[in-house]
Amino acid sequence: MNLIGKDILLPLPAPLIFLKWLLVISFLLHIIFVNLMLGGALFGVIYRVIGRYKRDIFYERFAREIILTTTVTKSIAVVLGVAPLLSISLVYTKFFYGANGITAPYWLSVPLLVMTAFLLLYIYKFTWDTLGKRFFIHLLFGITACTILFFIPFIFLTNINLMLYPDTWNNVRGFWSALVLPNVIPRYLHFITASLAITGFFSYFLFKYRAGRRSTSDADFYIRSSKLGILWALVATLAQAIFGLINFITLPDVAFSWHVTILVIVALIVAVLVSFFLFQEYHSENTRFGLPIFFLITVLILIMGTLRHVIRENALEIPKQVLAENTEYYQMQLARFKEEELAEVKPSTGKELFAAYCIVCHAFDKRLIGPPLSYIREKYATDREKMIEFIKEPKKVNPEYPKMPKLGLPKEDISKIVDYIYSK
Amino acid sequence: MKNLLEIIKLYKLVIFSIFLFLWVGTVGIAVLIISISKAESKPPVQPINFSHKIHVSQLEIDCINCHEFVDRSPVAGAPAIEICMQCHEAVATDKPQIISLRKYWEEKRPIEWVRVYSIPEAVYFTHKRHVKAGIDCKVCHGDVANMSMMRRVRKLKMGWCINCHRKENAPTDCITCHK
Amino acid sequence: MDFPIFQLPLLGNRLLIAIVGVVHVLISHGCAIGGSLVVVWLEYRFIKTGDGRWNDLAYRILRILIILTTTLGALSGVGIWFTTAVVSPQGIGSLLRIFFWAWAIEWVIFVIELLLFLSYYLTWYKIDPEKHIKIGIGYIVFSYFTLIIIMGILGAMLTPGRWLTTHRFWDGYLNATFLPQLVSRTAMAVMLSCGFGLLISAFFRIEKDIRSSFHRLMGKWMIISSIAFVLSSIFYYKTLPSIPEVVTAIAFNTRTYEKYLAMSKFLIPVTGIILVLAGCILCFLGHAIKRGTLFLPLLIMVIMVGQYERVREFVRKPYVIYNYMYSNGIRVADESFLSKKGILENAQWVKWQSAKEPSKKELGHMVFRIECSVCHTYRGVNGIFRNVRGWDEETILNFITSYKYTHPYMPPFIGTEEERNALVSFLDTGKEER
Repeated sequence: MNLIGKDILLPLPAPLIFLKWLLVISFLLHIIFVNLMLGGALFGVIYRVIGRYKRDIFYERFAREIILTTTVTKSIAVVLGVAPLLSISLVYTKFFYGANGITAPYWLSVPLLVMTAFLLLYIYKFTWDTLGKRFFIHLLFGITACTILFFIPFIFLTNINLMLYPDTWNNVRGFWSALVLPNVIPRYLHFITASLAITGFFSYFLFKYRAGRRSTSDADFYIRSSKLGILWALVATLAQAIFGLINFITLPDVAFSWHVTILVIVALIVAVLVSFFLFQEYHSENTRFGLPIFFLITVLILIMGTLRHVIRENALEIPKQVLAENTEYYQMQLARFKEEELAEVKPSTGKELFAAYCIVCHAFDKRLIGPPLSYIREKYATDREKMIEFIKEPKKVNPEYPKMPKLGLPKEDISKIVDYIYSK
Repeated sequence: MKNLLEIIKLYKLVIFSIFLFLWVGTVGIAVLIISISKAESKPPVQPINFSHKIHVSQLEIDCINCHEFVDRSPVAGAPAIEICMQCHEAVATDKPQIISLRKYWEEKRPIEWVRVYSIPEAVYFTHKRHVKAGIDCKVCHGDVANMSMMRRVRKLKMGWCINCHRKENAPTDCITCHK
Repeated sequence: MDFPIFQLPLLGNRLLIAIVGVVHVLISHGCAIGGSLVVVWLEYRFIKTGDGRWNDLAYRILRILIILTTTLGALSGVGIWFTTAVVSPQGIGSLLRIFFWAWAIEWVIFVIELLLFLSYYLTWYKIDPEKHIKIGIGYIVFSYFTLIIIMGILGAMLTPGRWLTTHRFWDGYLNATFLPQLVSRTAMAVMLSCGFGLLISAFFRIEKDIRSSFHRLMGKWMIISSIAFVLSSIFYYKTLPSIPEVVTAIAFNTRTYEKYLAMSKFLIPVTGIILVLAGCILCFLGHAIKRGTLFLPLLIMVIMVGQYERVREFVRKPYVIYNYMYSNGIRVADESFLSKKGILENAQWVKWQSAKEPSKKELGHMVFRIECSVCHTYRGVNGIFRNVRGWDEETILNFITSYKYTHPYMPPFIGTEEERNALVSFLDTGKEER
């Protein structure tokens, strides 16, 4: 069954290549902040727990500082999400909306879930001191927020994956059957690890910056925080090699091309360099590698963004062709129909006009919606002009019948109808 | 022991670099190997986007209707355009793919299908014998009925053939296939 | 028919869009566009009087507004995109192609607005108030800009004007209802800001003199904005395209309560008068108001705004884009073609969702889902089986054949005679008995 159907019959508002660039770049910006939001929330919870049990105030302070960043990162993540949402809805309308429709109840729950998670994060943040004594209650807010935030990517990834493989739509019934398609779960693991890595990098840069601007006692905290960030970044980047590999293994064949391999190999090389610099950074006191690290992870992120796009284009190459053909076919059928319609004989005799406009409501001797013709003939037996006038501008005269709608017919046609009515 | 730890600390960068190299190198090699496998089983783009799914699953046309000679010949073969035109002379004639098909027919040009399954020339394999033995097409070629694009589901390696020959009590001596 | 069909059980798709949309209007108009005005005005009071308590009040109100806008506000806005994509993919897909640039520019302005209000909040107490208030003014300006931009799109859905023939962006954007809607929504924003301001302040501990002064301020604003809102809404209503009276009737009140139609036309003016009275009470008796009653103005405003949005959405029926596309996603241009060819022939998604050999009744069910389920549930809100309660099969058939004359707010039936009979069979076998 061809579920691809036809496209929206309106031209794109901008050149396709522009919309694709917009999609790739705006999505990257969005996902970076989503990573920061997720990682920040997670760190804000686990380090609170660690801080409680290790009796070292460093961890609690770290948790608090990182959770405060989520105020900004989560709002930016949401607002930056609009651009890729609109771009993807334009460039891949049928595929994206098709996938949305298949997973509909879960897809629709996303804004509600995000909102709930945000509110819980606000509570977790703002009651840090006031609820500090009731540790478990306070933590519960954070854990619930994190659970929600870590579930939502499943919904996104299921959708974004499902849209690439219209061939699977026939066999998929909804969210859960789409979730287990390749390669949603590997992508999820890859995404979570990326969140940890990005948050690690972010912590490294942020706390390094703050260290440079504070007094010595504070600076110690920030240096230690910065190193913690480096550690996360390093471990996560190395782990990504494995999760990335799993992703690659489970990638459906149709999405593969040698471009993908090349991009992955380049990404691995960049990851090696980043890891190398991170390792140095962790063990040295004078931090010199900030700039190269920043440059390298920017390159890495750009490669990942390109990779996603290449995979998407590979998978949709044939479906897009099918879509274009279906659309062309439909437009051709429609055009041909319109031509035939124009050539068709328009109702011209009184009988044809009556059949086209009146017979729906008026039968000859029984009441349908309006009065029967026998009644009408009798009413206007002597006054033909009055009948014509009434048909032209119907008014509500009889409380028993609904008001007759105005048909907008020209006078000659009404005249013919009236003659026909009299003749019956 | 203490000395070892001290040595590690001293050369930690070197050790880490070696570890990094091995770690990422292994992944890289794995990526390359997997790429080769994926490239081979990726459905190739054909000159006409023929969908087995529509014709077999939806329209319920049997394999043998088009692959006519599979029970009489060593080679299954792609059908001649004549067979396609049996229906498509009249069916769906305004669809773009059918218009392309018709062009081939009118110009008497063969469609250059991209081969999906192939075995080495030195191997003797005959479809006729296997079809007559009652082996369903699906067994070797996978669920073709549900493929929108024909793709290779297995490499048809010797070990796989031998396994089945053993199970079905078919001859397993070398000369059966390596004539 | 080109997309999977979603049906929200019991409440129906319309209510889904309505709830998400109205929440968004309330927060965006009241907390962002209007809210920014209140906060900046209070900070201005602080600068003029030097009384730091005004500064504190402004800050505390801003914090609540930010929580509301970044959670309910932002996510209901995103929610509109999600719900429309699922309920009306043809509609939103088409609108997106027509008005993409308007939305793109609005988005850029949103991003700037977000950065402005975040910095407005984060630099409070940290920089010189004279400089600080400038950020607030920037917030007001950019917030208002987003309203101006969305007006073109919202208006064009109802009065696309020359776009129908020229298909040019500006012909659709600068349409007949642009200005009237803009004026009425500006008044709405100020009015709602009073509602939210009062409700939020009810939860704070504020010193008596500041509180009564604040009540007087809100009272004054409420009087002016309520009057402005009612008058501009009436003006907006007058600019709506000439529509059959029966469409206006269901816009103001559902058919079940048709006999109260005359009364419901006065809902907005009457609630406006109530708000003016409330405003007067706040002005003259501001010191004596019990905090527990401060939610009432907002509650009344929610009813007003609900009615305003309902009328605006309903007068557009049977179209989602006037004269271009019906509410069920079928284009006017395809109507006669699909009637001849049949609506089910290429409707693969309903077949996917049904997945078996369909009987006549099931075919009718498919037709219902494609053409009617966007507005009708089965036995819930606007439940179709309740609407045809007690009808016999012939009456149902007559209705389907002729309702385009008596119910012009419903898209006409599109399909072959066979499909029509299937639909009748479906309705007949499912209908509720008297």
